[in-house]
Amino acid sequence: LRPIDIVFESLDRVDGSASFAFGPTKALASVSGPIQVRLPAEQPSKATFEVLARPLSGISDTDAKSFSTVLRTLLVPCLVLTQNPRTLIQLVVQSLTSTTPNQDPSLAAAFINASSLALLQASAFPMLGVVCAAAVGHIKRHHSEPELNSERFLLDPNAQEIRECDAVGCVAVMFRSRNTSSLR
Amino acid sequence: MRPPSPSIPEREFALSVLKQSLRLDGRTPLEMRMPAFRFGPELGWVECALGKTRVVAHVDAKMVKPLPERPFEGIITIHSELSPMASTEYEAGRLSEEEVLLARLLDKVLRRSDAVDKESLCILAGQRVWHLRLTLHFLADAGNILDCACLAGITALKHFRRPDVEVIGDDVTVHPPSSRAPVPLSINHTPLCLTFAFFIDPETPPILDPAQLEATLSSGSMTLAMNAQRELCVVQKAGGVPLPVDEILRLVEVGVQKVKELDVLVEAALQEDWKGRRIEVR
Repeated sequence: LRPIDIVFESLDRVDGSASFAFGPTKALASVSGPIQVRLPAEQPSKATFEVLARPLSGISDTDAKSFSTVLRTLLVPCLVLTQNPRTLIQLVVQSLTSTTPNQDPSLAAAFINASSLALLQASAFPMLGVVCAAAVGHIKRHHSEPELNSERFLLDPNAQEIRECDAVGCVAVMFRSRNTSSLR
Repeated sequence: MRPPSPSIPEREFALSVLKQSLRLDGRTPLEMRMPAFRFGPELGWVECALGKTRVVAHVDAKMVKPLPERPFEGIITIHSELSPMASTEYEAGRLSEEEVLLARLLDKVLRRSDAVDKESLCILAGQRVWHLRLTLHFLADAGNILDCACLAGITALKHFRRPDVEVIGDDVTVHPPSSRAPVPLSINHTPLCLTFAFFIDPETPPILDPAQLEATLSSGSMTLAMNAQRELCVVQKAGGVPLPVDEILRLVEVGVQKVKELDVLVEAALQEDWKGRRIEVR
């Protein structure tokens, strides 16, 4: 793993905020909740969980929106939303590097870890567990002699290693109170 | 969702204290919070903090075809979207009034004042120019994001270095930063923004750089953008308490002094950061 840098940013107008970095790949997440929700989004028996992902340059595009939905489905199982009905829990994740989460899995992992840290810092609503993530790359080296074919996994590949890998992905694991469960 | 308006004790205390020329955080009425700069690993990434108000500015550049009506000029676009991270009162996707005013002011101060020389961004007339994209992210809104944003924006433009380009005839070669040192943008002048807040009560003096509570309680504000050469770039006063002319001129004089101090601060921060970066001289 590249050196990890965690800072609890304590942003002024939100309930919890944290930034997480794998080396130069950095993400900042902020959580507010439970707060007042707009009437169309109000749910009578549970809190509405809203996730917004924003890239560093330009405005939020389809890439960012698709990652927001992925992040939302990932984090919903670890929140107990039924305890605060008719409220809103709002998570905003900001990328602080120029890559996008769909191309760079370590940024996706940084987003997920920053979100978990921000949710923990807010501590305003009950949670079942914490989601942690890391990027993994798979390199398969083909050689003329079949005995020298090798394949191995790389943890937290950087930009150059990603180019060499034939498959990269982000693995997120939720840690509950006693044992690990649900691998995505 | 808009947070509830300040409670009556808060409002009464704050207004009575301001009447005595004191401020809740201990500043004098015309004192600005000290800006703190933090530069990122890549060139063109700056975080500016005015007290608890924090804004991140990022500049990147790419080569595009110029606009047909202006074939000799580069393009500068400014993205400044307020997200719920700045404050829960801002909603994603919905354009609030503050956001519109902010976008208009940033456009006037950073683009229309010709702070960056657009003709220097031209590579091949009519075919290739640099398109600079300045993106501002508002991390926390503790009052006066306008000034913080302009400060972060202009500092990022001064910090940014674009790749060196060589043009031989019609052939354009872009040299990567590893082979040739990137080139700074040509900045004509450094416009800096100052926001003053006014109150209905005539005995309360105008205050510079209002904090969150002071901005909510104020009944008018004026923004001045000036540079260190005593030139007035932008004056924005959108509604609010009417002001006499001598008051405005007095504040302009105050502003000139403040802008000179801010300019020195910005230059010092940029110099210190530049010293920390390793530059290979061949």
